[in-house]
Amino acid sequence: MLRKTFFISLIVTIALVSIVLFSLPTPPLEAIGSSEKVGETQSQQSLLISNVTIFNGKSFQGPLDLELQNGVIRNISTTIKRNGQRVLEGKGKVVIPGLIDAHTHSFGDALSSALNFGVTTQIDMFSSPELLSSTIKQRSDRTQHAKADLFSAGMLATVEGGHGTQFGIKVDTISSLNNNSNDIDQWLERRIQEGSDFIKIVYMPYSRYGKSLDRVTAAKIIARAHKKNLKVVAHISSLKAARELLEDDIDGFVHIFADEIADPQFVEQAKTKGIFIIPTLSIIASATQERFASILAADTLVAPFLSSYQKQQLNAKLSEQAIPGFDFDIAKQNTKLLYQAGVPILAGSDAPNPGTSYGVSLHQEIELLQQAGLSLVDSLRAATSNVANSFDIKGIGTITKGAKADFIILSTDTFEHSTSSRNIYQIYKNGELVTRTSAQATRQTSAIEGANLSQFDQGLVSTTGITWSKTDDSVTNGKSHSRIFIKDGILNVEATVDSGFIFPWAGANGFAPQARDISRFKRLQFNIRGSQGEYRAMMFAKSTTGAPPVQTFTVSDQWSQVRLDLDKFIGADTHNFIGVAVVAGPTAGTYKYQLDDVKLLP
Amino acid sequence: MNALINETGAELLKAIRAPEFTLPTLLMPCAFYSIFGIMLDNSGNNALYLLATYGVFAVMGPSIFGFGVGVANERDRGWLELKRAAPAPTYSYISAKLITTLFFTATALMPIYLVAGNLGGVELPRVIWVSLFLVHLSATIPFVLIGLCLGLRLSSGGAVAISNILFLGLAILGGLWFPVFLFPSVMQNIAAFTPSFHMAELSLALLGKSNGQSGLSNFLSILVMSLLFFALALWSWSRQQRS
Repeated sequence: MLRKTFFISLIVTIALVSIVLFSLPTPPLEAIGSSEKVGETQSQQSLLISNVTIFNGKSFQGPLDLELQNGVIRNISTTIKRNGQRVLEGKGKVVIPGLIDAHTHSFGDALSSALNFGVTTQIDMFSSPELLSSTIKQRSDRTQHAKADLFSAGMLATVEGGHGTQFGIKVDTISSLNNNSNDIDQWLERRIQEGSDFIKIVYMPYSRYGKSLDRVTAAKIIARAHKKNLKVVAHISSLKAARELLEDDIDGFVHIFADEIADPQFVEQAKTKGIFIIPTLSIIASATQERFASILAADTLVAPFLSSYQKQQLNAKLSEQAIPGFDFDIAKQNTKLLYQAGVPILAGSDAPNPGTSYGVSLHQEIELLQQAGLSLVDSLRAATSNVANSFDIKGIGTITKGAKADFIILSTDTFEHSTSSRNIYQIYKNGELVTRTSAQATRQTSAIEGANLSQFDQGLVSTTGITWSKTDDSVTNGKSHSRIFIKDGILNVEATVDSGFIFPWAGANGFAPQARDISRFKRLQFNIRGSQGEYRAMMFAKSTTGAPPVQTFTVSDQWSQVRLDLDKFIGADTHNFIGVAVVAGPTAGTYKYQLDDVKLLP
Repeated sequence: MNALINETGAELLKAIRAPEFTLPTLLMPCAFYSIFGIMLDNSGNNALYLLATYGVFAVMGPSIFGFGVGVANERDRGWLELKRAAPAPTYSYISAKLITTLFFTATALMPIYLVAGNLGGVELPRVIWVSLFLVHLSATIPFVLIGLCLGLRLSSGGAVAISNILFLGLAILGGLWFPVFLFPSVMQNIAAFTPSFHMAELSLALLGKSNGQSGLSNFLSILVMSLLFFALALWSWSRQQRS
């Protein structure tokens, strides 16, 4: 009886305890449950990429297993023990560090566009200092995977009227011939307060375009910045300017000079002084009328991921004619000479200047650096570890234990082509898979009904929903202005174009409330007469955030019908049409003109 | 072994036949936990924290009362003297009580876990649930030793009174009802001398809610206290044998 009681109680208690303990709810992450992890709901499951070839920032290795957790690379080894991690088969694939673009100017959606092409960090060579505090905050967020990280010069050092002052950003200029260390220290302190990671100076005293810092001031800025532990990089455009700053202990150049071939003495000194060079062959190619960017835009590996604005940027030209003082072959040769001497070469695109675009252009820079003579491995180092080392940024540009889990998986088993970096399988930022956006995904507009973009006899709004209004560069702090009115069913425009802005315009535009698909149309047509001179038509798409594509035409005091082919609006996204502008300029002056019957033709 | 099994069976039978004592002991901690951990939970975070501490509380009751009051009663009635004269070895008397208490505490923990998991939204990896159960169950040891000391020293009436005071005191001072960090610092200092505090800290550490101290110091504190109570119990045992 007592024995029975004991054993029944024993069995009942054990059964009860077992049933309860194994019916209690568990979190979804039980696989990694260890005592210290419980209660940390944010702990991510680790990811193991198996049997993958790794470029660690220096050389290719593997195949190896790669494990990441909590945004950090946790382990790299020939075989990593499986204990419940997610496993991604990496056989036939290559992992490279997230790319670093060493020369950009980050505006608008720069950081998300860059990440869309595997550029996980951008170095900014001048943008509005107000943006710095948010970018510093964002790059310290170790969980976000929507944007690239940014390190920035912030405000640049230039003089009133010098290079850098033409972009519509208020510049804290330095007065020329300023030997006052105190002034320079205060200028540097303002940069430190704003959060500049390094200092960029513009030094082009021998350029025909604009004014420049003088050598004494430039040298002073370099010396004072070094005292404050800030690196100083310089924009130069000639060997002579480069040589002078080299003697004044500059840390690096943000462009290669393309005016004459570097002499052995310069190359030797560059090596001895330990400087680095960001050749930015992409933008020099654009300045010298090379068309690499248009070829890039058509590459099937990148085209699906380009926004219409990016396509437009790549197809744009820096100028209509080749800019004097730039020779692409000399740029490549100088890059090669410095590379062969052992000077660190850094890949930078100078996006978003015309002919370049965020992210995508760095892949072109890698290719162009190889054209200049860099080996394949060195072109990859130029876009990864060389940048991190030159700017003293820890934990990026490398695939090593403890580094940030910012990397690209390429769909290629051997990295052997100059364009292999474009063959992107997946992008990871802070250990999280990045969702790449493609142009197709945003194309959801309905077709425009009817072809009339104006009915001025009925007012400023057309039956197709296009509303007309005045437009001028005063919205971007330009000095042009315009006014419009309807008289006798015709739109009258009075426009005064002032050359105070680099891209001056004044006139009228018609905008739709939502983006419309006008891809079935071939031509834009309208009637116009007015003050004689050159006029422009501009096409706007939903994604347009910079200068829109433009076509020019001339106007006389007689009515004439202007027909413009839509495909000549280079880069225009006709699936997302949002508006059209007919404006006077760029030649300064006062224009009066009449516009009527704006329509699209099939 | 046979004697131990029979003796344990007898203890269990005695408990089963006295549900007016058994049921409240088993269900009272769970009722407390339901009130303070679930119903009055306005932060949404108490269910997990109090699971650790009320688990210790659930173990404390059967251990202190079962031993303290039980042994005192039986001693008062001369049952202990009779036991000594009986052919069964003396250790089986204590062991049977200990095993019965373990049965009790294991059973008393289950409703608390069920309430925490199903009503309190507490989700823990299986290995943590099992570990928590083992830690809670092991809390039986120090409290049984305390109960034994009381039972061997006090009359049945005195044992009831003192057990109650100790039971409530250890529960409150040890932070089983309210977290210790809510106390004035004097009380926090006293808490460090209670086994209930250290048992609760061990359980909390397991749930990732430790206050920064290492679990090792808690474990060592409990070990030292248990050894002290063990020595005291041995001394009391030999003293009451002589009397």
